[in-house]
Amino acid sequence: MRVFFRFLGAHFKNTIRDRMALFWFLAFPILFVFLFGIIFGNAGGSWNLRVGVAIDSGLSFPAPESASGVTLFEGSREGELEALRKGQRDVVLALEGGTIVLFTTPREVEKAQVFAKMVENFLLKEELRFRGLSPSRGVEVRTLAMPRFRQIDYFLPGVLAMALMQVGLFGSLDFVELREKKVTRYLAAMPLRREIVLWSEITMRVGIALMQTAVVLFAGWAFFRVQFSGAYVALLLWVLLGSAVFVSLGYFLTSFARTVESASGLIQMVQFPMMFLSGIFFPPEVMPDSLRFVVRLFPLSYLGDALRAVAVNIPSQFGLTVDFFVLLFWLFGSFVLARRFFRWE
Amino acid sequence: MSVIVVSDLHKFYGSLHAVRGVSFAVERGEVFGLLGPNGAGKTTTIETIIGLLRRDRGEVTVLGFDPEKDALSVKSRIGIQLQTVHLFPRLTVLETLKLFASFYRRHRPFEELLDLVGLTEKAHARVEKLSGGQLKRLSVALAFVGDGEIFFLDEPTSGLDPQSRRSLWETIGKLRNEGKTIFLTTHYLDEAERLCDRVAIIDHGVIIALGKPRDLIAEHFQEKAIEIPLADAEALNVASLPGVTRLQKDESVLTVYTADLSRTFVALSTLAEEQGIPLGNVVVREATLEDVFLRLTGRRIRE
Repeated sequence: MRVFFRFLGAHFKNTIRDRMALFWFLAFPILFVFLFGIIFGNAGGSWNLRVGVAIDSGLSFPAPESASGVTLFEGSREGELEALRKGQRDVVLALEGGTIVLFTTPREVEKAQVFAKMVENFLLKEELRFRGLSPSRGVEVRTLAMPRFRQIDYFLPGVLAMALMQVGLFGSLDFVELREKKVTRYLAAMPLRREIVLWSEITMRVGIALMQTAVVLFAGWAFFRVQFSGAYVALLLWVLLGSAVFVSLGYFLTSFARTVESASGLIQMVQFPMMFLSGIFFPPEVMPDSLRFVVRLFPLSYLGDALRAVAVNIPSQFGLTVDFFVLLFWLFGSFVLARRFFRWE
Repeated sequence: MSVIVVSDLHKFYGSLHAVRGVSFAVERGEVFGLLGPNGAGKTTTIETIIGLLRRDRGEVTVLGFDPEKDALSVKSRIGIQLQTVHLFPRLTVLETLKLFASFYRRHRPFEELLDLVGLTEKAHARVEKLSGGQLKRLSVALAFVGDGEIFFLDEPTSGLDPQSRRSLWETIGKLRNEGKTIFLTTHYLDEAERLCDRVAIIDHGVIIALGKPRDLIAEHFQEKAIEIPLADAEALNVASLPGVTRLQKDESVLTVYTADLSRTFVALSTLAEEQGIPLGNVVVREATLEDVFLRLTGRRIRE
């Protein structure tokens, strides 16, 4: 154990004294939070209003094509309300006991009120008259009881997921360097078990993942008042699972590389598509349909989804159970492969 | 008592037969040198003895243990300096020493080690900031840190400036006085001659001579050597000079071995005067291990 802790200290010092590593692992995520926060932080999101119409409540929306800036969806009341909770609709229109109700989230109340006037004045006059309802009763706007979240709230856990991926994947380059420079070979001549070298490095990496978690959440709170849900244990477990997935994946990928340069290229090939196609920075709805299935392939999508749910209470897109099992599958797969192809020299 | 016994050691790299049946024994408390040109099989031999490479044939025991079967028993009792020194670049010298000290049950005091290799002022410098020579000296200090019974040093002085070399020789002498055994490889003949109690000369994976440097020289030469630049030597018929026993020609120098230096030299200077050739570049010296190597292989040991 003494040797383990010596090595842990050595790996740690060796990493935090590397300015580049510090930048990529800690400063870069903060920079990302800052930039995206400024770009999206307080803007109201898109101008396009996504309206869900609950057709089973007996409402048929006339002139769907007539209003520009309005996208219509039709579905069951429950289905549309669920979509609203997931942030896929801005307003859901339903008929309830002779009144037209506009369901919306706290965030979109203002938009909904504007829309309510629009509905009342122009679009629904015919509908109301047809049904013999008095237009003067107006349109009611009702907000769903759900936490308020902004784009930065959505984005912040994504940055955390990205940071965990960075450490897991790029962190494994340190080991490639030890191998390339034959440090691992040199250590083989020393009276110690080599596994200690590897496990102390992995431990160090997970430690850095925890530091990142604290730093990213703090940055979100400090700059943009992103409220952390307070679910420490859940967050800790998801962070550990996520970093375990990417650490294994990193060791697996780099076992095929002889030099740091080639390993770095290999990792970027995996890391870049994952970063931009995992829906960690924006909801997958904004992506073209052809790319959406890709989102479902990457472990980063599920980690981001789960972190959003536990860190800032944004409803999970895939469901936490699905997130858990997909990540577990990736962990298992990459761990087995990493073991299979691992090389000391 | 022999602390290292190697018999009929063979090592192949694919089809390359790098070590071909090497045998020798090293006694406790001696400085043993494995001497040979680059590529002769020195590093392969040392790495096979410490168990870093698997041997293909033969027997090796270190302190009574087989390094392949009882690796930990061997490794915890020896200190190793390998030719390639690559460490955690951003640890300091002292931190690196402390890390390596943790591998062993006990260790030599760090101040003493730093002093031994002359790195006291660099104790808090990062390894990545060290010069090549300083890095080499650090790697030597790491071999000594565990206070083992045998130290294996692979080319400990190559790349060092003359002053550091001499101070490392002193260090090695000091450790020998403590009763430590030192096994080193080198391609410096003067180093082997001055430092080693015994040397094994290795060429193309075979040991071609083994013994005390003095004895090896005496065995092959009772003569003195006169070195004449090849360009000058061509005009002189040196073979006919009195007392000459042997001639050895290499790329740039003709070496004349003589049993009677004064007669040969007088005759040589007379001859040179007749031919009008100046003898300013001629060197007269004792026979050395270099001559032994030259005689046995027809080549000089250095590139």
